[in-house]
Amino acid sequence: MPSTKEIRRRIKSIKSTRQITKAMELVSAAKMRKAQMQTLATRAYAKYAWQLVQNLTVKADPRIHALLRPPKQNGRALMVVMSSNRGLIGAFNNHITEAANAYARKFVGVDVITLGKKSRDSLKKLDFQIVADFEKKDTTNSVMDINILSQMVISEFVSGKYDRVALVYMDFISTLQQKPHVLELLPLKQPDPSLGMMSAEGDDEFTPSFEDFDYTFEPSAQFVLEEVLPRLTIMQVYQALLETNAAEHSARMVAMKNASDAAGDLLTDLTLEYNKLRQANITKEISEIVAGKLALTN
Amino acid sequence: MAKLKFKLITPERVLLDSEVDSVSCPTQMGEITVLPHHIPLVANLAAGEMKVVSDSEPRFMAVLGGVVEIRPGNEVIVLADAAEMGHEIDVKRAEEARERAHKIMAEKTLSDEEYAATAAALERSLVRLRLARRRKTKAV
Repeated sequence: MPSTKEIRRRIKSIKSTRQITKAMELVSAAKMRKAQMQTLATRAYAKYAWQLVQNLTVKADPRIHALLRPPKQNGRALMVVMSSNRGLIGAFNNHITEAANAYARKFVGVDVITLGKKSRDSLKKLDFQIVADFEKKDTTNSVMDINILSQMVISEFVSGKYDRVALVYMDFISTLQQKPHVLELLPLKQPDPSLGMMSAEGDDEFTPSFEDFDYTFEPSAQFVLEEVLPRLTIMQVYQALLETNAAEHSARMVAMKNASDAAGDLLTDLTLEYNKLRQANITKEISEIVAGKLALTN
Repeated sequence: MAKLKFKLITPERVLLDSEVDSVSCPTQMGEITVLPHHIPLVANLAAGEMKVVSDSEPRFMAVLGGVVEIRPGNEVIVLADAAEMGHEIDVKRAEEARERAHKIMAEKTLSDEEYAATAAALERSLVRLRLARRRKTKAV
């Protein structure tokens, strides 16, 4: 049986832990709101950009632009894995690592670019070849933040070093739900167009129309694609990063909320135990005094 | 008469999503005006002002590069890098931005990248100012 002093000490320590988790919950909630707003605001753009790309890839000759080049058999693949920088987030990063691992198994040679410390560490342990690691900032404010990463991905693909490029990131579905998602980014021409869709978009029924129409390009197909494809590719990377951010803060807020709630439950239990013990001690003392007094009067 | 389903979308927000009669936008080949039953088209946008007319009521927007896609079924989708509605433009801020860009270009020797960024900033502020001024003269 622990002493009352010991229980008091535990209550105190749990209380201070709860304060910390509560504070982190509030901080995450604030960050989450911002990240969610950003993500939702960009989704419309990303969606129409992706539809445009899919429309273009159906219509345009794949030889016209390097980003449309169909993959060879047994080519090398490049994965861009996004994760959080910090822990205390539940199984968030494990899910991402698992998704990356599962995807990598489909190919012979896979290189990895990581964005975020946690995926770097866990993928390194799994003996992945990490060719580059980018620092992930706490907040993402503009496309410029991932410009270097995107340029690198595009140029590596264009140079023919890799045959496929995939993004592995966390799809933000709702505050309570996130799903790891693998988006096959390059080549832009996909055998199955739904593969590349952001699964959280809701309207997955969009398929490129194979109707009998052709786009007129102004000034020319080459020129338009040159301008549009890299830009839209970068946009997809940016959107994936925003989704990951929103998912991360949501997951952390939920994890911290659970921790605070658990601390509260523990406190109730301990307080009850403490009061019982205190009561028992008082009863014991009284009965001892009474017994002592009785012994004296007899 | 058939209407155009027009969407003006930037990475930050959906600026406009409505049915309109015509859309005029600045492409790299010059200004084009899109009316219903236009053939499918993809064109690069240049920085400039954009006009949409619905019920003979014109609305002006500043767009700063991007791409316009015309889909079959009278859908017009503009994916702009940045865009503003005419009435949202802050003339003072645009003026300041122009001054700043002018100054930087005049004073410093810039790397290619910096030069491009500054030139783009200058162009943006000029587009905004032009549009804002035109609206002003119209109101009088």
